[in-house]
Amino acid sequence: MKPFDWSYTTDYKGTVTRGKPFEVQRENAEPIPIELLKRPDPILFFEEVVLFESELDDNGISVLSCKLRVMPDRMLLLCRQFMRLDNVLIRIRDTRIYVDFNLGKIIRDYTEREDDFDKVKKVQSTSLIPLYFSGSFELLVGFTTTQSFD
Amino acid sequence: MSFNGPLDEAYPTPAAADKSTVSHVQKGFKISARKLPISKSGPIDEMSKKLGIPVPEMIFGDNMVSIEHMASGWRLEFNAYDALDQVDKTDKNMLKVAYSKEWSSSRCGSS
Repeated sequence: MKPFDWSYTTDYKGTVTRGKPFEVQRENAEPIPIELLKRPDPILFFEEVVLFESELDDNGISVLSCKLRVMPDRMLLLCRQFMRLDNVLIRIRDTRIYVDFNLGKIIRDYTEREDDFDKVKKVQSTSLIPLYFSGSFELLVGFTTTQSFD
Repeated sequence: MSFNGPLDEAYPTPAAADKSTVSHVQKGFKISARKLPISKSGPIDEMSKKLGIPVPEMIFGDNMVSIEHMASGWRLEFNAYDALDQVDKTDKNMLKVAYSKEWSSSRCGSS
């Protein structure tokens, strides 16, 4: 069998099946307005869809799933890959798609985080927050791209 | 068309795919999600062949989420095939499992 990255780590940020691709923001990258997403707006539509999952031959897990919530004026889609190679490494790759319906603007944010298994495990056991929400991960890559409609 | 297998091999049928898709329209954007059972062996083999790598044990090849800007037709989709197509198909980013650390030094090179 040919070698390949059997952890199924992917830098997938979605597929534009029609229309123009996202534009990379080189300067003054506009971040996703987290504050607006924290507001208790009613959630009109929510879905969670798993795309693939592997137990890595019983050595951990690699799962790619999408979660989205639609509010009256905006929506957020999170496509997350969570990969844990037992006793070696934890890796998270997030693509967030934020849509402002009124402005016709879409912000795409992509981040790669990973850390040694032992380090994350220590944080996890002391702080009791879910492993994948731990802020201890080293941010490796993060950039934002946008798309707008008139 | 192949006559080796059942004639209704195509799965999911377009109708089933339609039925499993839920959508919500909000201010000119159509947001959709499709949830179907795990892929069957036929589509898995086909996908594996096209990708050039074995696919994960649990593959939801027919699932997707999408965001469409209805006026322009612009559409963004997330699906398993395209995600797996971005997986490194060389040995450049191969990880080693924990127990292999001890003996990997003696087994460098291709497997």
